[in-house]
Amino acid sequence: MFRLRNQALLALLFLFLVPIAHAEHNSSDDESRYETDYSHTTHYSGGGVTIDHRFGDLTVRTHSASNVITKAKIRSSDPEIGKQIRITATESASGVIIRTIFPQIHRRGGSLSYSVDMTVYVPQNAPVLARNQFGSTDVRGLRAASTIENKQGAIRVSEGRAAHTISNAFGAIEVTDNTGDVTITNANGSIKVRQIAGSAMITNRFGSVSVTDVDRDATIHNANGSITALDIAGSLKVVNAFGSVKASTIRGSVDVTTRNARVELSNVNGSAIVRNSFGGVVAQNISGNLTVTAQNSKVDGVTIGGNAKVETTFAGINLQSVGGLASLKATNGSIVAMDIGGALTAENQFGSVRAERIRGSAEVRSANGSITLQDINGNVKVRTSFGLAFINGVTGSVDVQNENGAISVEGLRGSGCHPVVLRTSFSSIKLALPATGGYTLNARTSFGRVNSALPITTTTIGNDTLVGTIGRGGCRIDLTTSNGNINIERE
Amino acid sequence: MTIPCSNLDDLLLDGTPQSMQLAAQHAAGCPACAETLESWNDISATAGSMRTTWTSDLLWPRIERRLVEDRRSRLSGQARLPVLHSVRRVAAAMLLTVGLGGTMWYALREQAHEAAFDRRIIQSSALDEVEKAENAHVAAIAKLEGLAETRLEETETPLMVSYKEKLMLLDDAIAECEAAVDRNRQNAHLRKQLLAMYSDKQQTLEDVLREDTHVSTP
Repeated sequence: MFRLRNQALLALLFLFLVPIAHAEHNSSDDESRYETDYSHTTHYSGGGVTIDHRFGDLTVRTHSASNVITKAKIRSSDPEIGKQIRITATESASGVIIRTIFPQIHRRGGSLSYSVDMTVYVPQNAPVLARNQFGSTDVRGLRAASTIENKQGAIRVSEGRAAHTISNAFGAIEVTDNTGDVTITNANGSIKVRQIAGSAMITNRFGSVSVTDVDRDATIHNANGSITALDIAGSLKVVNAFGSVKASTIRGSVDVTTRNARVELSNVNGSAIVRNSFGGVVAQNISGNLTVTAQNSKVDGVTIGGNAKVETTFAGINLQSVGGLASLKATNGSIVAMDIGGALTAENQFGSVRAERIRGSAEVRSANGSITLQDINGNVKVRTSFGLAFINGVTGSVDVQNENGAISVEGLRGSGCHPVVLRTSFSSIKLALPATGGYTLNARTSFGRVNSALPITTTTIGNDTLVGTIGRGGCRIDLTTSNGNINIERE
Repeated sequence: MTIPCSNLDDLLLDGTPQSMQLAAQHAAGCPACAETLESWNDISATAGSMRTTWTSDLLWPRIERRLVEDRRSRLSGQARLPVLHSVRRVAAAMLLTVGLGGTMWYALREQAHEAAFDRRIIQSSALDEVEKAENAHVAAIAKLEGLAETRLEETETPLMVSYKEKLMLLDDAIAECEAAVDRNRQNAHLRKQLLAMYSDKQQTLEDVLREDTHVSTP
């Protein structure tokens, strides 16, 4: 019995001692662990709180007391170096200044290492200037305009209640829930901004920018980094290059200048202006006007409340459902325009033009591409060179001048008299007319025939000319070609 | 009542008048069992004749005293011993729990401290791994720089200008970080930062080599 009891006690003792011995062993096997705590309270009688820190994390918090509390944990692989690291917190007329002072180290390439993590509690209404390098910076709850600077470390600012200026390089910036304007500058680091009750002015290079839920205007300058802007209550201005731009739910206007990147806009209450090159542009649900000036960029627009003015080169334009006028120019690109509420002006070369359901007049200038116009509620004017011009459903006058392409016009259904003038050189003309209409016809072709399914009362017939009337006569129809037939069909 | 021969022993051992009567009835019709019964009766008669009695003035008081002591000790044992045992057990369990918990807490706290320290100041074994990764990046960067040099010098597209600018910024930041690392070699943040920038530079050089030279000019 006695032996059993002794054995149990020994086992218990073993259980107690093993973890302690283990812990002791770990802390003592490597003498290169120096760690000490620093704490200091400084009276604050106004002014700013300046923090100059390096080589470690910096945390800034607010409290209701009128003093500044500095706490730090100093770590070093060398106790001598660790003991020489000093933190000073001094009070002056301009406020409180806190500095981390590291000893001069002349040995290079050794295994000396140190780090200081600092937490500073400042009065809520004290303006803060916090500088850090080689460590992250976390600031929360500042109620006075402050400046936060860092290099080679992340910055996180949250729950601020004043305007803040934040800058960084080679580190991310995250700003959340701030009542007040924010001005943010970064390089080679991402920027993420959320819930800003104020305006946001952001500059970055070589890093992405994401802005969400801003109560006032947002201005973003970036290069070589993507931009995302969501839910902006004011207007949005973006300048970028070599990085995509995506903006959605903007209650004001949008102005985007970029190049070599794609632009996507959606749900914009105001107008949208986009300048781009070598990147597609997609605009959806723009309540105001849409203006796009682009090069080598395909442009897609859907549901534009106001006017649309789009210019691009070497790529097409596709617009659907525009409330106002549409002025489209796509050099070396095709144009598609559907459901345009006002007049359409389209110009391109080396690309087709297709327009349907235009509630105003349509004027198209093209070359080397076919033109198809359907359901035009107004006049039609077409100038082209080497493509078919097919027009169906027009309520106004029709004026088509082609050179080496055929012309086909049908569906003339406007009330009243609207002249039809169709001219081409080396191709045929086909015109379908309602049997009830009255027209004064002047048809001319050099190497072709004039065929009519409707009876024509001729007044002049020459080698290449036919002049007469259809029905009662009246509305002017001029059909001219050089080397092609002219066919007049009954609808 | 008829009984089998095998039950005779049980009846004899029982020894009650009824059992003995039954055994006699059975033995009357069974010669073997009659012999057994006769032997049993002889033994019983012999044993009865050997019985004797004597008187002792000391024996009973001693027995009585011992019985009283036994009763007392039993009564006190019933009242106290289990209580004492359970209290000791609970105390022992609590001591064990508190002791083990305290020890574990102490050990975990120490480990957490060490882990926090290691997150700031990396240890030599981890440093070797970091430096190995850095050296791999440096070697790759040197090779890529050789390949990208011509393209960067000869091409003046906005994208290449942008890449050049990025590489310059990276070089400045890397130099600054390397200088800091030189005097603070095991600082985890510095090493992570340096590694990230090496990686970024390598990626940028790879992008330069991948990039088409016909990118836009404004």
